[in-house]
Amino acid sequence: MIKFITKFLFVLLLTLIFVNQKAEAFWKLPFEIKIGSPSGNSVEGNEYYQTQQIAIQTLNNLISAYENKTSSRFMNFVSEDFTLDSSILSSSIRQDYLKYSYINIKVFVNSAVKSSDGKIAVIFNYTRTLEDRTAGKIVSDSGTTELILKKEGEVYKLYSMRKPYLFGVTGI
Amino acid sequence: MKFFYRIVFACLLLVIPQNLCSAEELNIIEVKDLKGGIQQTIPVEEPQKILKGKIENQAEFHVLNDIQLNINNVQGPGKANSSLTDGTTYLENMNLYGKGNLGKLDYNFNIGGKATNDNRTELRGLTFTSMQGQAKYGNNTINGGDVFESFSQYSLNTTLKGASYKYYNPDDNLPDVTVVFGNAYPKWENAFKLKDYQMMQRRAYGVNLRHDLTPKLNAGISYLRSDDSDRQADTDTLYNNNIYSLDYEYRPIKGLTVRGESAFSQTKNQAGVNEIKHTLFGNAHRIEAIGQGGPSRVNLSYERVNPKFETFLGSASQDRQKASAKWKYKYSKNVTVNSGFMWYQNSLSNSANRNDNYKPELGVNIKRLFNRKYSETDLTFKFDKRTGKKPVNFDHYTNLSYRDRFGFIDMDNNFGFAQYRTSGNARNTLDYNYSTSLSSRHKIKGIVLKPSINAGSNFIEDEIFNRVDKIIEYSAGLGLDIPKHKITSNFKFGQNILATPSGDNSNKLFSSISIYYRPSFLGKLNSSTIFLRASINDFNFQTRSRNFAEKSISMGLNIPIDLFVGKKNKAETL
Repeated sequence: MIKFITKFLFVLLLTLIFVNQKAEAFWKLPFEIKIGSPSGNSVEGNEYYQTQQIAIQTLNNLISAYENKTSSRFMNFVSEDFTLDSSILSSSIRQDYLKYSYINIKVFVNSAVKSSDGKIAVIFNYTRTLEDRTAGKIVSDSGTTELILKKEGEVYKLYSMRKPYLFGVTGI
Repeated sequence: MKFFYRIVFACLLLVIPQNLCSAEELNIIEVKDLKGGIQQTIPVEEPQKILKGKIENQAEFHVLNDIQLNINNVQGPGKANSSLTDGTTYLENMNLYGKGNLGKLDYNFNIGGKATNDNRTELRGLTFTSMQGQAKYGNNTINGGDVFESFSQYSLNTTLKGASYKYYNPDDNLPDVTVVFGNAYPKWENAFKLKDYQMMQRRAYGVNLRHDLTPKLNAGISYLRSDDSDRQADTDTLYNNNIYSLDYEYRPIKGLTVRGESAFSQTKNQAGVNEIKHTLFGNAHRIEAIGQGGPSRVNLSYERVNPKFETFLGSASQDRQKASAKWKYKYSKNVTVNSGFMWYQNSLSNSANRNDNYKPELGVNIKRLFNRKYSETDLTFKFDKRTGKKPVNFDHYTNLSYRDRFGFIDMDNNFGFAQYRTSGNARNTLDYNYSTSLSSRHKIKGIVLKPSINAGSNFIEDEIFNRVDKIIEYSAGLGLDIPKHKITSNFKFGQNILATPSGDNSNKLFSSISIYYRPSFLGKLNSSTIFLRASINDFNFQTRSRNFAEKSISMGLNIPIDLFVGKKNKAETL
């Protein structure tokens, strides 16, 4: 059934692409439904979409700096108000780099939610692959976790982490 | 439940356009490219939305559909360590965004779901990713679905699956009120208690009042209760937790801010097997003073979290007290000195296990070194000393980074040295690390080239076992964009080598290519993107039974569809 739905969806979208110039209404409604951006408001102007894009960008920045093992660059994306203390996180990140010779993290962002005071919670699935230098083995884990981001100046930074921690795995 | 999912997905499909109209009707000016395709759309100003004194109901919806097919091939005796799923998988990710108004009621929502047959991406074939909505009427706001109400650090600082109500009026003298209710689940499937997603339920209720008591003093009080249920194992401990919190921000004079929070918790356990019921009363306090004047910015803070303080939906390091001082001094336009000292102590109620940690640090940032316009240098020293209960640590870090631009090349260099020492001759390790990054951007006849090189190395010398581990990593990349044809692409090759005399040497090769194309022939859907990604990763180890290789191709289509719903026959606007 899942395969059927996926195929149906795919065919429907392809059909939509190729016939969109001439298509007529499926049924008549007391109001108009138009395709395009009549008021210039594409999805980029939607607040939920913007929140998700900011969350994805910030998460990618954090992961990229963490994978490249550049602690100073990583800490540039951590808020001074980080709830578990940025100085303690910095030491923990260095311990991660000392222990793991290879770090690879893949994420799929499920949702991003903005609070009324401007913070963003990003909830995502992750698959993390680490090479333990001293134990001589590759360890892999996956799960779902949440990061809280806070705006500092013009940039969103890491403000808080929920367990399981994505960064500072050797212990905060 | 499958049926429920299918109904929702069917609903998502039904909002796909029923009436497709031309650009003239949409108040859009289309800029054609040489082949007649649409290169750019410029929206014409929207007519007023007030119809004979009444607010016209309008709505806009956006569907973002991202479908991709992944073909992965994982081979080798160590393939179990691969993070890819061998074989052909698909991933369909759809999001519906909507906003509009019904009279004075403004609404906004987002529903998202994904379908996949890749167990590493998701355990179920069809899942919700996001469900959130907001309705606003004057000063009243209701949120539902994924709700994030950030009361304060100690009380509530995470998302809930539930609902919240907020009253906020900047013009009256009443406090802002927020009421929240929901379950702390990471996924909607947990909330629906589906198979493979069952977990302990943590239900929370809370209220927050926030008010500007004076123009200089803002304060908030919060109450949050959480009740656990649905024990998954006999040994699981469930809790009932109450938190009372007061947070504040006070600006007595210009340049000085004092802020902080005090919270009290009451925690009862619903004892599992071999546990005794108990009730704990804990408290947590933090206070911070920030002073800014002239070239200096000083930050003093103190925090104490009682060992019995429990917050399940807030954030605190239990059983710890810490104090810190930071001083940022702008010596001149181009030179800034940062200094800081932090002390923290764990195991507050058990002196036998207690340890004290001292973290002094000093750094200097110099811009325009040697009068070079784009240069920036950072030099930092950090110490990390832990005393008290053995083992005792003494670590220190030195880091030097230098960024500059030479001609058309941007350069970023980083050199670090760290020493890790633990008492009892348990550890004495020296870590030398270096990384460099070179990148540039060139535009040649409508083609943008972005070559880059990254290289890094770590030499980790263990003086106790007298061995040196070497980690060498490099990558070369080339970004190639053709803006006229809406093509962006990236090519990358890299290697990671671990050479260790006592462990298992490894050599990992990575190569990848990604191409994104936004074709014009899709007409009104010309913001759609077709993409192709491919990668080959080869993991080789000294122990050959661990070797594996990954080949992966992903192709897909990203289609955004924008819909506008307005009244028919709107004859006149004022």
